Amino acid sequence: MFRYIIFLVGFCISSFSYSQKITFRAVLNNKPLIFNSNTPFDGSYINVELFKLYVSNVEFTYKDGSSFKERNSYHLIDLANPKDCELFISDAKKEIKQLSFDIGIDSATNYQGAKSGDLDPLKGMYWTWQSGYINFKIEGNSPLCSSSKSKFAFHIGGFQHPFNAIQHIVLDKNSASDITVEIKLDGFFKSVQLDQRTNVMSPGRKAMFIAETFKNAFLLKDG
Amino acid sequence: MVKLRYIFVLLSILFLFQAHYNDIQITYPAYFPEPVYSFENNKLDTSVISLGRSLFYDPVFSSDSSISCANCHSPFSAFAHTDHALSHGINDSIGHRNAPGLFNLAWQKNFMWDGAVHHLDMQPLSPIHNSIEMNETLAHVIEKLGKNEKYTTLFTNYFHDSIIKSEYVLKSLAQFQLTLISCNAKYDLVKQNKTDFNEKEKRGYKIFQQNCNHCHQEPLFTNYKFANNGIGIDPDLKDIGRQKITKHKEDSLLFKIPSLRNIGFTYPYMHDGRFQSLKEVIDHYCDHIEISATTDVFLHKKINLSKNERVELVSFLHTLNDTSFIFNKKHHYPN
Ligand code: HEC
Ligand code: HEC
Repeated sequence: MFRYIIFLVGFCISSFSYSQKITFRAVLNNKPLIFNSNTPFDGSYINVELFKLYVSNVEFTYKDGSSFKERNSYHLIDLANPKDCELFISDAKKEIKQLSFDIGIDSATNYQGAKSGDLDPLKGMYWTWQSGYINFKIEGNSPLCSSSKSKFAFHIGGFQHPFNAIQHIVLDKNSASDITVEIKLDGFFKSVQLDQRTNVMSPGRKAMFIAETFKNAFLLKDG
Repeated sequence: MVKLRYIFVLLSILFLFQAHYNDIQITYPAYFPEPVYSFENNKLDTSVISLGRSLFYDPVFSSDSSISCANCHSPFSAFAHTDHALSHGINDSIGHRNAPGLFNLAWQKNFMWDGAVHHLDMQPLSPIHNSIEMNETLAHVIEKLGKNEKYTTLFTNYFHDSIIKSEYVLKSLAQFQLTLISCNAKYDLVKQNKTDFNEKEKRGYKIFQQNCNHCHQEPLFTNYKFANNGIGIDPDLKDIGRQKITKHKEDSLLFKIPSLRNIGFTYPYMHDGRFQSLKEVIDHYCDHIEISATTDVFLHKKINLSKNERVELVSFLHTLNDTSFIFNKKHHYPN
């Protein structure tokens, strides 16, 4: 009952406030990524089968200089599922100048123990043999891979110094349109070099390289 | 007006229900440091502790329902796996490490011999998913628990949720394990001026302070760091320890410095259970330290102990055995 009252009050408040939509979209070969299909790349092709990531600590800076930080800001995004790619953030309705967020789960949260919702370890974004969240996962196959069966799998995470793989992304917004964040995989796969790296599944130097490379794939689609 | 009063009465009843939460606190001697476990995110509750205890002893966690946590962590050996150098899991397969005792976990920051796990809540993910330990998935365990009326009622009562979430299972297991506090060994009684060491133990204590306390630091008998104590690598297991986790060369062959409390109950010793007795352990520290690139510098200087002194050291180590912990019925199989 108490819960219902809270819920009702919350509902009333929330129905007055406004929510900003952010859409995430993966792009390969200048087209929205299609999963489980061979997309031309570098004279060959890449087939992405899985692509998930955590977006956390979403923050807006407004044109008037003020800012907004989402509370409990942890979102698991499955790029294969369009519904999962839309975030609705309840902020003050003001014109946004800059958007920032983290890719992955911060170290403080990693130290807090068991969680539910998007942070539930059953979501497949938690290592079992070693504790810690996986910040992002991308798996698939390509003839470019040096591995057997031409498979690649990157499970990137780690929150302990010096291999804290979380990445902070800051994007400037120019026009007043909706926010669409594109993740351009062409540059990512070029730097990763599938003929040299096909598997990174634990925290460390290699994971740091992949995470830093991944950071550069984010782009705000304006207008 | 009548309506308002009605709501007020309803609210009061609700608060009464909420009040069933009986926050309890762990107790420990004044000479213990502050625990490090994040209790603020998992407030101890007697009902949740007893739920965790049921889970700890329940084979539901293994794929063929044959193995419970207690199979490898028996209360009668301070929750270690006595007699087994390497722990045995499902289908009698043999693991690659010795199961450590479980006690005073609220003071521990890193778990497993290599520190692979950094939070007690998350530790069960490791054995449950390990193909030679319990060979199960937590998702499936929760599905099984959801079909068991005893558990669904217990979980709903304590967590006020109609479904069982992994968070509840993990937090319950952690709560039970957090109550496994061992602080009633003879050493503690001496500390509390309730008794005295005998002459042999007294001399052993001195030897301990000079040679062992550097790593196995009082009063928890570990400084919670990692070290290479010169036992050398087992050529078959090729276990590099901490380096596997940190990927630093300097961490090669470093293992968690274990507490020496209850040491009389937790044989065999070391991460791979290679030593059968405390005598063998002490002979190692005196006569067989293998100096390699990462061997702790403290052990580079030879420890010279006579035969008598070694016996005295063992006598002292036995004052760390806490029989009241072993026989505490609250820790045993729930009936
Ligand atoms: C097949 C035997 C086996 C089973 C079953 C098992 N464990 Fe363990 N446990 C081990 C071994 C071996 C280690 C040390 C592993 C390592 O260092 O890699 C360990 C380590 C631990 C630790 C870390 C202790 C420390 O001081 O670092 C905890 C806590 C623990 N187990 C709790 C549990 C719980 C809870 C369960 C049931 C869900 C369980 N174990 C099931 C064998 C087992
Ligand atoms: C440089 C730090 C260091 C010093 C000094 C040290 N130890 Fe250890 N000890 C360790 C480490 C690390 C382990 C675990 C090693 C492993 O399993 O590979 C260990 C393990 C043990 C174990 C086995 C515990 C178990 O549960 O399996 C015993 C017993 C022990 N030490 C006793 C002693 C005694 C007695 C002394 C003094 C003579 C001593 N240690 C000095 C670091 C140290």
